[in-house]
Amino acid sequence: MSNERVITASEGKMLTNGEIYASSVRLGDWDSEDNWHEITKEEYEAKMAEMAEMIVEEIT
Amino acid sequence: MSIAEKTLQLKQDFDDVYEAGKKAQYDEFWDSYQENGTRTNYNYAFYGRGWTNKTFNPQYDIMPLTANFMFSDARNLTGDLDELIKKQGIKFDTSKCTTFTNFANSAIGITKFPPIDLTSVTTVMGNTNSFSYSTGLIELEIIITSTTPFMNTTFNRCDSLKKLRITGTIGQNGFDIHWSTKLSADSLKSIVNALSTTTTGLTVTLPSTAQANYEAEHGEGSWDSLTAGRNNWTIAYLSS
Repeated sequence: MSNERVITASEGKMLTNGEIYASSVRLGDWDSEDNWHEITKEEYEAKMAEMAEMIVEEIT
Repeated sequence: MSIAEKTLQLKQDFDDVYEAGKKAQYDEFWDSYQENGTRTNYNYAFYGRGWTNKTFNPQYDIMPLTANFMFSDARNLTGDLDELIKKQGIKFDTSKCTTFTNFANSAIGITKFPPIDLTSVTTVMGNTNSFSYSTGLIELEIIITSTTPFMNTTFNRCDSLKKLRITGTIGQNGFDIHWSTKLSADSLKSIVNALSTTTTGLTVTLPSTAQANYEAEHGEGSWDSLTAGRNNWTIAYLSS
């Protein structure tokens, strides 16, 4: 088995490093758990809805 | 020649003239639209719902320098665009194209593009939303370099994408393909193998299904083996 460092979001939560969102993360050898924190799924969905709105606006 | 034969001949002559006129109109339209083959600005060229498989029959090679919104919202262009272009007997070459902003945003009916060469894109804006909402896209080949930028919206909602082939190296942040949960094992291998081995501090976002999809074909533990050589990357897994 590899010695990968994997972090997984708790139930109802998502992980983010402020830019990227994930349900689980395999940390690169440069990365640290400290760079990631949890947010609620609602917060994540709000961010995604905001992004989707911006994309649709681009073509309308 | 009988009257009946003459009438038939007359009809044929009318039809021939009509077809010749149509062809002349067609040639004139594409001569003008593609500037006799010299057009390089393809921004909005095939944008919108008016373009269909019947009306999209360009006459000259398509070699854009700019391709913003080129097929955006072209909802009535459907199926294999690569094949459609090949049937026209023309080339589609984006190797000199510097910007693909919203290139195929909401081109929901296109299942395959010709290989898209992104090697001349230098700014992240140039790759924003390029395939966003290309929800019908099944197969895609992209050609990149380690400096090709990606936006996290480049492949937004490419839900149907099964075959992705990457020629070149991913060496920038922002490559996010988590919406494509049906990616084949070969596609996943193509992505992982494209990840630069020399960069550090970068993250790629893959679908949560990646490991299961890959191991279904290559066996348990194969995903770890595949990604082990890319410990310089953080891999974020996300469900769509």
